[in-house]
Amino acid sequence: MRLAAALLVCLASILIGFSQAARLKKRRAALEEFQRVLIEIKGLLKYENASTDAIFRKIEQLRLPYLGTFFTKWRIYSEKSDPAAALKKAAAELPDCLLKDDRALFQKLGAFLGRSDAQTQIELCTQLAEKCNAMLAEYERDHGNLTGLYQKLGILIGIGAAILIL
Amino acid sequence: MVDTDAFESASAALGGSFYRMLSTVGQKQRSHATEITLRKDRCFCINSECDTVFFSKTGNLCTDAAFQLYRPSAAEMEECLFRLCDYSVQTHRDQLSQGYITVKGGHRAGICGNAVRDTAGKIINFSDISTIRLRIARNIVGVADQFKAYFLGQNADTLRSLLIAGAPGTGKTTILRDIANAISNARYGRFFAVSAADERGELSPEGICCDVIRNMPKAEAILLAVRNLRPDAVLCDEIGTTAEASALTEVVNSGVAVYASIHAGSAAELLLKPQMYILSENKVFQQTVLLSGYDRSGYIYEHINMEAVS
Repeated sequence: MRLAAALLVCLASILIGFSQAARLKKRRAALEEFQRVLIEIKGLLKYENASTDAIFRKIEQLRLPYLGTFFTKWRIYSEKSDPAAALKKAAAELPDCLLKDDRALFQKLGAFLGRSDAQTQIELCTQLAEKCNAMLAEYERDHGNLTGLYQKLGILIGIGAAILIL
Repeated sequence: MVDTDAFESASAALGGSFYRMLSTVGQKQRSHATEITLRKDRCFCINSECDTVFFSKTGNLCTDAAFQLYRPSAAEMEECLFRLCDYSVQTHRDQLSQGYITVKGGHRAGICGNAVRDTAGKIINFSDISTIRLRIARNIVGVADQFKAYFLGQNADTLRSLLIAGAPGTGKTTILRDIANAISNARYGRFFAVSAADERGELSPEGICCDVIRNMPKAEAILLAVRNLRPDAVLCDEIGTTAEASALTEVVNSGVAVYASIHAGSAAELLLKPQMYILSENKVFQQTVLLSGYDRSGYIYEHINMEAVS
């Protein structure tokens, strides 16, 4: 009985540690995907003067693992309403790992997408990409080592608790 | 000549509360409507050949402007314009700077407001939109038949150049569209390759042997078509400049037929146009008709003998 309990506690602790680490990694990957989307939008605006619908469809073709569902929903809702209003509905599909500041980047994109000429939108996309870049740099500085720490802590606490129980 | 689908697609382009109100309009009004007009803080109405009906605050139609009319707000006008742009202002920038937007189905919305200029003085946009006037483009199959004798040679195996003149709203574009569809779909027995210089996206011909060049100045598009697409006929809606007239002269000199339209209320007005001087000097058109409207039997027109007139 004790052995089973020790094993369970150990496993749970390791799981929590690893899931926290995965959450951090996921946030980073989602922000990187967002950067990729911004580059794609800039290209589409500059070289194709693409419509908002065409932009959404191209983003869908990128098959983004973390933001793919969100952009698909955004496109679907945008078919019947203003992209800014559609974004509010689609925001529920954004990954949980994104923080409030990260979500604000998406809101900013929704506020200008399709609303002005291509050049202005390209400039706003560049500003947004710079902001996203700064957030990623901040992540590297503050959380880069946290990922490994969460994993190690999970294992150590798990083993420690198991020993105590035994 | 009834095409109520055109009214439906035009009202869908306006969207929102405007579409909801327009969907209650009866068949008769739908088939006769020529424009849908929105004026900020003033009225929302449907224009037809002979009258104008207004939407009241309750969404009903009335002919008396003394009623409590539905008055579109500034926010509604802005939202409507954004919707007409299909939520992509960037793709409609050039059109917006010229005061119009062409929407799906070839309907053209004329925009009125404060012109915004860039540092070079060029108009780049309109702000504080005060009027949106959506002209309903109708695709009526068979209207070209009435003019068959003017644009087809004997045995229907050759084409003759035709100029359609008329005041706005007399049906010039509708006839041109049907001519393009008819000859490129072999309605008269033979397939002809047609190239349409559709700068404003209003013509939107759908014939299977029809090539459409959009968003390009007509004069350039006409020459591009002749150089690269080897058409049997070239289509040009609303000849507005001497450059377009010169381009059409080159086309005719290349052995290609031309179908075009031009704004003119009478033969005298037609001859006063500088572009017409180039066209008649070079004998570009073999036939010219002047439209004055339509009734139940079809279009009311006058065949003009250009040589006699000039």
